[in-house]
Amino acid sequence: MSSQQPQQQQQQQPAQQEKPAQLAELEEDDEFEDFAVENWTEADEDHEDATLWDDNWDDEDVNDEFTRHLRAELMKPVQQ
Amino acid sequence: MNNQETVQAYLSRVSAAIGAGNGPELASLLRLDGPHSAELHQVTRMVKAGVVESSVRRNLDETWSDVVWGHIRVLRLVKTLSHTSRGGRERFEGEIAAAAELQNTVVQTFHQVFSTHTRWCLPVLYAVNGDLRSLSIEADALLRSRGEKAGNLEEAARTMNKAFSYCVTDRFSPPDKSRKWGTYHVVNLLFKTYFRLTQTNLCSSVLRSLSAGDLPALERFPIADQLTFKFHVGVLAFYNEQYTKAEQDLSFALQHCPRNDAEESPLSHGLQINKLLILNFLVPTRMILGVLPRPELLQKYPALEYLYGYFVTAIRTGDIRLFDESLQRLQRDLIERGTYLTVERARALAARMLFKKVWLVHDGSSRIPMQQFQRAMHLAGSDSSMDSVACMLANMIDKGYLKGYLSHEKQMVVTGKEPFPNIKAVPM
Repeated sequence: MSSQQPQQQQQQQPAQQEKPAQLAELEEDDEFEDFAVENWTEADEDHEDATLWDDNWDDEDVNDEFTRHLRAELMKPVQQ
Repeated sequence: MNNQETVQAYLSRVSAAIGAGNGPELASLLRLDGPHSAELHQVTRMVKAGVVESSVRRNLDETWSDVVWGHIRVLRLVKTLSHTSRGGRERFEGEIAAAAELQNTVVQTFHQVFSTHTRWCLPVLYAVNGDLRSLSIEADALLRSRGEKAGNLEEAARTMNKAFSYCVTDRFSPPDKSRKWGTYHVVNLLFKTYFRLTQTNLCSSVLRSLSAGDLPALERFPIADQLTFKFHVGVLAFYNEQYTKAEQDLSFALQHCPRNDAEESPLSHGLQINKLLILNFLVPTRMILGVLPRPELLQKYPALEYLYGYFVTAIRTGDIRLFDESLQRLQRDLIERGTYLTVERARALAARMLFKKVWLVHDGSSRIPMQQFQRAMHLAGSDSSMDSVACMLANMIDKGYLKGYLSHEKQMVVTGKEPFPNIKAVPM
C-alpha cells in the first residue's frame, strides 16, 4: 500500500532528518538562562513568535492528494 | 601597588559599599568573576593567609569579616575561566570541589548577615548563591568523572532553600525595603536547581510556601523574575498534564521575551536558548489543545522543526503512519526533551483527522460502517485489526473527539450532526 503514498509524503514531510546543531546545543545545556537586565518594557519585547500559530487548520480544505485517494478507495465496493 | 596594598584597596571598597548600602557594588565585590577576582586570586596566594585574614578583620566588623574572608579563601582555590557578564554559567579551574564546599559555608554565613539587613542586600544574595550553584555543578561533574560521590549541588539546594526562607519570611522590614522582593529570583534559582537534580517534586513545597507567604503580587516583581518563574511553573504543569495551565504560563513567558539585550546583536545565545526552551514545551502543549505552529515558526527554530515538524504534518493530514514512524524514530530525542508522553498523546489527533476524512468522504453520513475506518487505516499504512479500530473509535468517543456511539451489532459508527467538534472545544 505504501506505493500509493510517496507523492503525498514528499510533499508534506519537512525536509529535515538530520539532527540540527541547535538541538545538539540544547542537549549540552538546557538550562533557562538569566537575563542580563531585570526590567524591560513591552516595546522591548519580541512578539513575533506568539503570532506564528494556526488554530483554524481543522477547517481547512482537505482536498489533498491523500483525501482524493481515500475517497477513491473507500467508494470501491467492499470485497468480501 | 604591592600585594598588601591590593588587598587593602579591595577591603576599602568592600567597606565603603557596606557603609553606603550599595548592593550592586558589594555584589560585584563578592562575585567569583568580579573585577577584583583575577588579581586577588594571584595576590592572596603569595601573601600569608594569616596576614590577609587580620587585614580583613581590621577593616570590617565581625559578621562581614567572616563572609569576606570566606570569599577570599574561595578565590584562592579557584580561578574563573571566562568572565560572563550575562546568562551562561561560569567555568572555573583549580580546586573546584574544595571551593564548592567552602562557598557553601560562605553563603550560609552570609545568610546570617542577610537576615539582619533589607532589600539593598539582594544583589549580594543573588551573586553568592549563583556562584554556589555554578561551583557545585562543576564540582559534581568533576567528582562524577572520578567515580566519586557527588553531592555538592544537593547541599547547595538546601542552602538556597534557606535563602528563600530569609526572603519570604521577612516580617519586619518596611514593605518597600522588604527582603520579600528577592523571593521570585531565589525561587527561580532553586527551581532551576531542582530541575537539574530531577527533584521537581520539591518545587511543590516551595510553591506552597509562596502562596502562604503574603507576598506582593507577582506582576510587581521585575519582569525577568516573572518570566522565568512562569516558565518553570509552566513546565511543572506540563509534567502534571495540566495543559491549560501550562499553556497560560508558557504563553506568558513567550510573550514577554525581550527582543534582544540592548547592545547585543544578533540574538544573543541565552535569549535564543530561553525561547527554544519555552517553545519546546509550548508546541506540544498547544498541539494537544488543538493549536498548531505555523511552518514559519518551525523554520525559525530548526530544533523544533526536527522534533515536532512531522507530528504537526501528521495531525494536519491524518497521516497516522507518519505519526507512528516519527514517534519511533524520535523517541529518544523526545524523552530527552521531556515531551515524549505528550506527543504520544497527540496521536489521537492524527487518528481523529483520518477518521474525520472518512466521514467527509461519506459526505457527513450519520452511519458509517466500521470497516471503512479500518480500510482508511490500512490505506494510511497502519494495518489494524477490526478490534483495534473499534477500540480507537471508542477511545475517541470517550475523549470527546468524536460525538456518537458504536453499534457493535451492526458494526456501524453512528454519529450526530457535528461529530468532530473543534479540538479547542474538547475539554482536557
